[in-house]
Amino acid sequence: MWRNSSPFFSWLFRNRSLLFTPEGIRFLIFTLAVGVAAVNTGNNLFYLLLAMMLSLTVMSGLLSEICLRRLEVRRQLPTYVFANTSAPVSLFVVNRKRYLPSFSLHFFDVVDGHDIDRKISVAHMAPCSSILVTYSLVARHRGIYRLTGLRVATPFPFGLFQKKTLIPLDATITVCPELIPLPAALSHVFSALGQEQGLIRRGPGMALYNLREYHPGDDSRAIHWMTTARTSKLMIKETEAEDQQRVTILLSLFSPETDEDNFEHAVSVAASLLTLFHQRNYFIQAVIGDDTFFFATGEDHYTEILRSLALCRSREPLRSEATVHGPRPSAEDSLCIAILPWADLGVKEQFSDADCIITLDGNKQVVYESRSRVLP
Amino acid sequence: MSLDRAFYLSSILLAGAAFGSLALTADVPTWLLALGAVTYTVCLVRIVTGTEQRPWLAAVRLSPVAWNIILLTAFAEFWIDVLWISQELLSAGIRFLIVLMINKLFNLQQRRDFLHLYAISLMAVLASASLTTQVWYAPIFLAYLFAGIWTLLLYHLTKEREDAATGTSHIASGTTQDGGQITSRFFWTTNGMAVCAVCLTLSIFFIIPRVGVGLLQKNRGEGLRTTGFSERVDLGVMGSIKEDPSIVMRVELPDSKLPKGNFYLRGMAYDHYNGRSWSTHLSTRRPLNEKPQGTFTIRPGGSQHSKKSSPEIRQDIVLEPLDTPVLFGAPGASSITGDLMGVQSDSMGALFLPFPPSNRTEYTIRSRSALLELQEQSATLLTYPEFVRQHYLQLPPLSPQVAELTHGVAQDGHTPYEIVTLVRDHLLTTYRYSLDLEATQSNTPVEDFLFIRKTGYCEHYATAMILMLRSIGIPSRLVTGFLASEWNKFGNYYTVRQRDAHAWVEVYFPHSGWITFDPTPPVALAQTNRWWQSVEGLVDSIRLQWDRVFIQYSATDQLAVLQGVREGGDVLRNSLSESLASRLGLLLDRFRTTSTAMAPVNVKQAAFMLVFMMTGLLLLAAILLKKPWKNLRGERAPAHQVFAVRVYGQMTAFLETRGIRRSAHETPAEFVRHVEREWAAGSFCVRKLTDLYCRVRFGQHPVTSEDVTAAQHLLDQLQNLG
Repeated sequence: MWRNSSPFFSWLFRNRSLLFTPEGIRFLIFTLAVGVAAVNTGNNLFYLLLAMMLSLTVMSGLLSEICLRRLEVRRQLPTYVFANTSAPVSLFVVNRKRYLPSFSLHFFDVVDGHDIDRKISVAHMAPCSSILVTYSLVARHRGIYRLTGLRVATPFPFGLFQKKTLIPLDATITVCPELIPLPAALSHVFSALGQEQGLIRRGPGMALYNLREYHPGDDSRAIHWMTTARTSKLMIKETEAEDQQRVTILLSLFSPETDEDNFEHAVSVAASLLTLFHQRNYFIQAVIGDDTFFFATGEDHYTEILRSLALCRSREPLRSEATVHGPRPSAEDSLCIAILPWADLGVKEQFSDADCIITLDGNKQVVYESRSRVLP
Repeated sequence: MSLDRAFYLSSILLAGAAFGSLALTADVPTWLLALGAVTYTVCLVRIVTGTEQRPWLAAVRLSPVAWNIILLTAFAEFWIDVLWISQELLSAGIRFLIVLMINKLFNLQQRRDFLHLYAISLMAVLASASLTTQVWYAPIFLAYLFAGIWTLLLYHLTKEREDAATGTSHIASGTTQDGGQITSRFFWTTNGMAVCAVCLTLSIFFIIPRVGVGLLQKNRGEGLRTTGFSERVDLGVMGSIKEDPSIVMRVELPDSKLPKGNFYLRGMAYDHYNGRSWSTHLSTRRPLNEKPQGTFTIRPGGSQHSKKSSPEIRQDIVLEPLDTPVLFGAPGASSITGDLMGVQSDSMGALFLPFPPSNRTEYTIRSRSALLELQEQSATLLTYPEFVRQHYLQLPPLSPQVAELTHGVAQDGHTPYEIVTLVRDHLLTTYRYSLDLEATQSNTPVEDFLFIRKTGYCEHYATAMILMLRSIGIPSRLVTGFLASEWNKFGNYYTVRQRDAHAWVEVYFPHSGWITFDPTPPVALAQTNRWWQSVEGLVDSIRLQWDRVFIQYSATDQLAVLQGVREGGDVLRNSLSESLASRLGLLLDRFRTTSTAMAPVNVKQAAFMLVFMMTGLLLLAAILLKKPWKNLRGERAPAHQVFAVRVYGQMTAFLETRGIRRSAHETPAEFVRHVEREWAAGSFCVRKLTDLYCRVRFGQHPVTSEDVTAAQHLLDQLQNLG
């Protein structure tokens, strides 16, 4: 009521909230008891004790307010994270107060209006100082993880209550599907396969691909010293990739609502396969529902496919014969793997050209079905 | 000192303050006090020296079973005490509290033990507050507040450290106190906090609205027993209190200087003497009119024509609770003001409350004592009204020796005033003042005083004078009260004690009224240590202030303070507006004079003034727009930015020494390319340092410790290349 009625109070209480600690509640009860005793008896010494207890409460409010004032926080998030996998998040906290320190700061991520305690505390921040703290973020489900803000709380000085302030730090992270361990047999098979293509690209190898200027982050062992000496610039030698394997990953999005778990698991299998092939420098083509990613390699390509996997949603199959996938790009000259969360016969027929069809059994175990000459 | 040890110490001190307050207030058995003191000492020694150095201290422990038995016994004793022995909840509760406190002091192990100890301490301080109003509560309270601030702060900090140690939370930086030690900065900051808390406490104490419902309130008991102020006073009763140093009242004279002569505080007057005791036959009391509220006006008694009187004396009196309802004040009281239920007066000018007060009473009384008119000093014959003759010439059966003595003394007196003076002087000079009188049951105590013992104290002197005057037809009466003689120079007030109780004489003069005469010779005060007397005065002054400001502070005082503030504000506002108006008028006058003088001749000067004023206005506007004070408010770059800028500055400074100067128009990236052209060997380091500078300065990125090391390394590398 106050917050709305007066600009002063709305200024005073901006983004602030109070939460009494168990000790604070007891203290409050004692204060009320002393107040009742003072009013009942009119004894001024009781009033003095009441004033003492009230002054401690007021001081708590003032000092905690000072602690929370003029704090600047920046959060650095990774571009994407995998579900159920911890990812490092760093908070850069600056105390912009010139003379006053801040004590006992606790940080909470605000997600959907709820405070999530990351168990991060800063015991002491000197005036005009900064600190970098890191914590692990674990998202449970793939999709977009939205952090609406950061709440900073302090129980300083007496721990009677926690005063909290909300710092609006809106941020989103793409939560990619959880990476799951693939069956060893399947990994082994895939590692032995691939279509040899004569495409020239960068990658680990011996033959010279290119010379370019050094960029921060490059491996210093790759510096081409002769060229560096000649041009007076740090030059890097890039090599031509020796393996040129290509793979097409097809993910069907048709899955009944009742099999949502299966669908999620299938998406995880797709992400895990994608990661496997990405780590092996495959040229990857992916078709996820209506999204098509043509053959390419590299981190950006990988990230884009992962993002698509993170955001894809299952589609309710009406009838098996009506569940028709759209046109797909050619998967010729590549290993084509189809992942079907809903192993309907009609759907399987549509992926008859795939070298391998991966489905899930009732226990969410990966079942693969080879349709190619190259697969055992 | 480590945080943990300081936390233990502050907790023990908190409990110590609470224990001290109980020990000073309550009627606690000596064995329990001794036990508490021993426990407290053991705990202190444990903390200060540590049990490692004194292993026997660690051995001073009882098993939990033993403690349970002790507590159960104490609890049973508490109920027995409440129900059968003392039948007082508070005193029994205090004894039980002390046992609980001893238990907790010996078993401070877990956090909840500390919380229990704090709760017990608070209850102990509350209990002592309900039992005392003494000034020693002030230092105890201050000690409790200081220890409380320390304890709460350290409780919170140690808890955070414990949480971090147990993995409940992750502490990201160093602790407040350099690895868990109390630094001098922390020490003084915490004490500063405590001082702030004291100031805040006092502010809240004075602001908080006073409401006294009074349910379940306990009466404080009877007031101080005194004698000489009842309807009937036996001759010689005052001797019993003439050695009693108990304080009866304190009297301030805010508007007056110290009286030159004796300062009498009149209580009751008596008209009838039966040979052994005084009584009043005019005891009918009538209530005084209260107009305005809180002020009772006293109608002058005695003479209706009295014109000559002393200047008005205002007395602010703080009267201790007595067993009599009499109110005291200088003779000739004209009004009495205070938060009083009502004031009554009898026809001899004595003032009474409706009933003896159970609490301290504060009131202001204004007096204007009658002075003897000159014509009455020289008048040989005075005519007294019938009422006066009827009541104030009464005599008990007396020995004819009294009349003979009176005539002998008064034979040189030609006027009643001279006779009164002669009689008084005779008593002053002929008889010896002494309190060491044998308790005889004489039927004629005045005759004994006058003719046999010739020794007595105020009552004997006053009674003898009255009887002598009445025997020759001069109306007079006995007045009892106090003779204030102890001036407290620290508090600027009279301290009036029981031993200052006094009796004197009032003689009636038809025009002047009742005039005070004191036939008692001045008493030589016993020599006391002057230093000790000063200390006593100082302590008493502090005690009075404590009572006034803290104990007696009431809603009326709050209203008075509010009214004072409002009146002060009005006065300030009026004086400010008057001052402003006068200054503005002066300025306008000067401007008018100047413009009149300038108008015909000095156009150049007027133009200069105009330009000057315009410049000033523009300057003011510029200042208001630019707000340079914003930079003074502490918008200082954080340390990491400062570092990046400093390193970049060092780099450019070094490059300048090599002749590569950064132009004002060059961006950092352009400057890198500039360096590449001029000095390729150093361009790598310059590029890296510029990257860092841009990232931190413009990208607001944090600087890690690796960045710092790398930047320092690059700078060194660059300088080595050069």
